[in-house]
Amino acid sequence: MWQKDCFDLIKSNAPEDKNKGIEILYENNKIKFEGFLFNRGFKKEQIEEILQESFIKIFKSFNTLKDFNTLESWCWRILRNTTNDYLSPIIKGREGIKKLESETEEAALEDNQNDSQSDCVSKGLQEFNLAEPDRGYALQLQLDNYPITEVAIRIGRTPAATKEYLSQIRKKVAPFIEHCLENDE
Amino acid sequence: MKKIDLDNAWLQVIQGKSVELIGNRKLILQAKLVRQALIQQRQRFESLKIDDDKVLANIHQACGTTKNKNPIIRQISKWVGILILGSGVVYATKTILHFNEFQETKINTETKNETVLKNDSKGFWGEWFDSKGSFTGFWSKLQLRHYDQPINTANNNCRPDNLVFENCLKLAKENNASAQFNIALMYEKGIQTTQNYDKAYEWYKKSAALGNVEAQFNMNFLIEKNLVNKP
Repeated sequence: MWQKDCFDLIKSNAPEDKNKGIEILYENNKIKFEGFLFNRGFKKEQIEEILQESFIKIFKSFNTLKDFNTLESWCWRILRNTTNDYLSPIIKGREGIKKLESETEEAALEDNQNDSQSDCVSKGLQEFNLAEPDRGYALQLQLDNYPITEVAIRIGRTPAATKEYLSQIRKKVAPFIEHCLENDE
Repeated sequence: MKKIDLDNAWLQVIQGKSVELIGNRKLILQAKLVRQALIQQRQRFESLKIDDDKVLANIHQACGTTKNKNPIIRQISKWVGILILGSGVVYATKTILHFNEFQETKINTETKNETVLKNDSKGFWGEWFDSKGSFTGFWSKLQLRHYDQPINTANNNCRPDNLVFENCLKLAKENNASAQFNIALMYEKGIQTTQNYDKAYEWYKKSAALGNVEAQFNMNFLIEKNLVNKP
């Protein structure tokens, strides 16, 4: 169980153990975190920046964590908070969101001429990710049929709430892709 | 079919499962297109090359820790560390170690010892019978072999259990390294003579020159403790 090993190593006073703990935690979470950030429309450099910031926050506040069982959900909470801080109107003056939105719109306009049905759905899904990032990410997790508990940890909800949350995705995503299917009636 | 079932069926299609929903062709198509878009999205993510090494290095830098090196570098670093530590320990012990025990003096048997050959009988009778007429066969000869070795009968009064200053001094002057060490220690401690660190140093130096390692340590000890005015 990597969570316990990692917890014990980072809590250890030996610098070598601490280093090892940091690397275990990073290795076990980087892909998931990167996927989460990518799904929210961040570019490579932004992903690296947020990832770095999140892990630094995790290690600097590690002393506040008391139980290794909550390690994973605690890390996800920090990642989500860091992401929100990154896009926060106070810090970024909404530049982050606006920039992402404009980039997506520009890309959509450029490709509009040769837009096939699947491309149209793809664009719609990108817009959906921006509007509903947690739902977009939960939908991405459905590809791998993740258990409800795992999805719940990642989006910061209880398993029961997550189940309900997932069931609403179809209705929520529909406005973004309906126009792609109109010609198919 | 209930709405909740439609939602679950839609999610099942996203998961790649085969679902039959009669009269809901549009819903299935929509789910399949979303699944396809999600897969494309996943592929785009997988083609994204995040520089994890750089990120991890920055994390370590910010946290004041160090990135673990690869095993070969770690092994080399370990051995270099051990060597540095080892040489440090040797240096440290070299300057503070001090030997307080007198040494066993070994006297050159060829030049100084009076030796006695116990089995000195000659001829046939001397070879097979002892002086009392008893037969000395093969085993007896083996048992007697040590009698043929020279035995030190010199009066050695410079041993740890029998220490006489004059005797040690005499041996020391004959370039006996252990005796020189003993005389130096006697000067250092003031045993059987008055304490004199300078003389102790001189004798340690002579002994060290003859290869006595303990004398070298004691000589350094006297310097380190500023008991003698030597460089």
